[in-house]
Order: sequence, then structure tokens, then C-alpha cells
Amino acid sequence: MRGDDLERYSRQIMLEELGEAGQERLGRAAVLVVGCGALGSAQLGLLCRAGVGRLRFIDPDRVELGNLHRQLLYDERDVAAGRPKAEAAAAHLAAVNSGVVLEPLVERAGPGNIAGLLAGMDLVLDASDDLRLRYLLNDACVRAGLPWLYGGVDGAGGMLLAVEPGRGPCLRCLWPDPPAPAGPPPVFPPAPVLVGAQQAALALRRLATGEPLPGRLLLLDAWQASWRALQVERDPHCRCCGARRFDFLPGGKVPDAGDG
Amino acid sequence: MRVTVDGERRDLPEGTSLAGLLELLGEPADGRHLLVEINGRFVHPRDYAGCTLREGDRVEIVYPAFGG
Repeated sequence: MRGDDLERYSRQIMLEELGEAGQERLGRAAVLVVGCGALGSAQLGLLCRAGVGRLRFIDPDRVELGNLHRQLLYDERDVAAGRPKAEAAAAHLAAVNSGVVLEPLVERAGPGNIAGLLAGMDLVLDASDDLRLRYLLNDACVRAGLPWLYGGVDGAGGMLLAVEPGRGPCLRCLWPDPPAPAGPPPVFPPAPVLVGAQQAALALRRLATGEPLPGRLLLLDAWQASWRALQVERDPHCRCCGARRFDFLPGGKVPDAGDG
Repeated sequence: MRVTVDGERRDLPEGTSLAGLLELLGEPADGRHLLVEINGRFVHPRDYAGCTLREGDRVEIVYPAFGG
């Protein structure tokens, strides 16, 4: 490891769980972050600062005034310039840690590009605001055998689940079908920051140790200041990770419920 | 029979199943888009019909959060 890296990461290398070997593994790791909103801002900021070697991130939207209360990567200059979030994120992240390879993509993740997005990645972080996209991520990651971390927020509440394909439960073991789509939920700004930070923490742990993450649904109430863990189980009859029917990928048959 | 659903107490007929409760709440009985925990334990969707509620059960219904 280079001398300035030893200095930059000295306080995290001091962690027994990480050490210099763990830090080197982080430096060789590649992560896809799907969405550059509030969850994505928190995740990207932390992963970039912690020295994850390669970050690929995708979002089709531009920075808007209504994003600034919770999306920590952006400021009023990004709004005034109408910058795409992925580009603005890349500019801010490059200033934080020039040693990280950044791959910003100003496009929408979907069935048509998901295979290419996953190529070469070690782990996927969900930071989207679209439940259907999460079912697509679940299908794509289970098929590819890639660990991914679901995260979502609603009001002051939030939740996350680490999916370890073939080991623990997947998204469809818990919720076999997506609910009908709804409009954007209210958001208490600390909720996505906390969820995104916890997703980033588990991603760093997974990448640094190589050890699979436990299949627990973590439930946050940012208003009441509580986290709790619900032990969830794999469904051997799950359509996705059991029967390996990938309904949300191209050629798959998407269930009627929650069409949108 | 009294149970607590999402923190609110409800009177239910003896022998009500979890699927029956979901119907009472206006949810499809298969509940494939929600997650249920009873007394802190996760219940698989396929077990909703066979799961009989008991006096004092604490039922929590968890929908996937989609905001980001």
C-alpha cells in the first residue's frame, strides 16, 4: 500500500476487523450503486472515502431543489446548473478521493442494461426509489450470484436486507410480489442517510472480509431512534432463488399485481 | 380474542387465521406483497392460511419501503 494511502486510511486500518489486508481488498473491489439520490449519496460518500477501488453509479435524473434536504452529495450550484446527479456526484467524489475509479452513468437502470451494469462488479447497492427496479436487481443478482443490499425509506422509517444468493433469503422470499406502485413517499431526511450508511457499512464488511452477510431484515425508526432486526428465512419454493424463474428480467413473465 | 395489529388492539373471533385477519384489513389473503411478523417471528406467506392467531398475539405488517 502507498504511503499516502496508509495515512489516508490509518484510522480504519486500526480496526481489527479491517486491517491492512481488508483495506487492500477494499481497494480491489468494485461496487455498483443503483440510484444517486439520498441513499446513493450516503453510500457513495462513505464507500469513496473508505477507498473502495471502483464505483459505478447510475441515475437518469438531474439535481433539483427538492433533493437538497436529504441528498448529501449536492448543493445549490448543481441545482442552478441543472447537472445530472451522476455527473455532479462524480465531481464531488473525485474531489474527496482521487484514488477511486468513478464510472458515472446518466441513464435509467432497467431490464435492457442490467446485465452490463453488473459485469465486473463484486457487490450491488440498491439506492433506487422504485420498487420494481429492486425486483429487477433481485432477479439479476440472484441469477449472477452477486450479493446485493436492498434499502428503502418511508417517512422516518427505513429498512434494509442483505441478499446472499443461494445462502440467505432474497427479496421475493420476503415479499413474493411487489405492491402496486404509489407516489413518492414523505421522507424525514436522516432516515435515508442512516439506511444508506448502514448499507455502506455492511458492504464494506462484506468486501473486506469476503464473508457472507446474515439474512436479517433491519427496520429503522429514525424518529423513535430505534433499529431492530427481524430474522427472516429463505423460502425453498421462492420463484426467484428457489425455482430460478427471473420474471423481471427480459423474457420473464412479470406478475400482474403492481403493474407499472 | 384480543390481538395487537401494528400497535392497535383488535377483537377477533376465536380461531381467526392470519389470512382471515389480512382479509379483514382489506388485504388479499395471499398477502404476497407484505410481510408479517407475529410476536417478533417472521411468517412465510405460504403459512398465512394455516396460521391461527392466539389471544395476546402481536402482529406487525411490514410493506417494503420504496423511497430512496
